[in-house]
Amino acid sequence: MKSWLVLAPFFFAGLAIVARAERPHDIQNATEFADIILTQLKTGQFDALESEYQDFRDEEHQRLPDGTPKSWIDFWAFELATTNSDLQDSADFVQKIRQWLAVKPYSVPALLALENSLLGECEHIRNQTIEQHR
Amino acid sequence: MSSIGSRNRLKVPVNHRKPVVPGHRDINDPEIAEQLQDRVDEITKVMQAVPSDKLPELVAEPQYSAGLIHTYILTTAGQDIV
Repeated sequence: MKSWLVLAPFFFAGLAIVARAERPHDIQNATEFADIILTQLKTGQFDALESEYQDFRDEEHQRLPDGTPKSWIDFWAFELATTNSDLQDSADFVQKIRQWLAVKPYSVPALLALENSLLGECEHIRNQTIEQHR
Repeated sequence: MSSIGSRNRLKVPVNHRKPVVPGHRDINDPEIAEQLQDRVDEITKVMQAVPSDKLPELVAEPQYSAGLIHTYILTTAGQDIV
C-alpha cells in the first residue's frame, strides 16, 4: 500500500505528459504545403514567397495542423525538391531561384532558398554516388 | 561572413585508401568532388556578396546556421561509405 502511495505521483505525472503530447508530424500535410510553395516559385510569385516568409516567422501562430512551424517547411521544400529530382530537372528549378534573387537582390528568403536547393543537389549527388557503389 | 567554402576545399586523395573495415568502399571521385565544390562555391559567392547592413537579418535566421553546418560537412567530410 505504501509503495502505491509513493508511485502514484509518478503515475499521474506520466498520464499528464501523455495527455499533453502533440500528435506526430504529418508528412502528408507537410508535403502538400511544400508543393504549394514550390508552385509559387515555379510560377514566379516572388512577392508571395517574400510575404509568406515574413508571416511564417511568427512560429507560434503559423503552424500546420500537426504543430510543425510553417517556417520549417518553407526551406525544407526547396531542399526536398532538388534532393528528389534529377540534376537536369533541378537545373530549371535552381535557375528560377536565381531569377528570384535577381529580382529581389539580397533577399534573405531567396538567399536561403538558393542555399537549400544547392545543398539538396549536393545530397542528390551523394545519394546517387552511394547507390552506384552498393 | 565565413569563407568556409574557399578555405576548406574538398580534398580528394590521389591514392585510394585501404578499406578500414570489411564492406568499406572509397567513393572519393574527383568528378563528384568537383560537382559538390561548384555548388558550395556558388553558395559561398552569393553569401559573401551580401552587404553588411543585410548581414544581421541573414545571420539571425536559424536556417542560415543550419545551412552553414551542412555546407561545412560537405566541404570537410569525405564521401566514403562503410
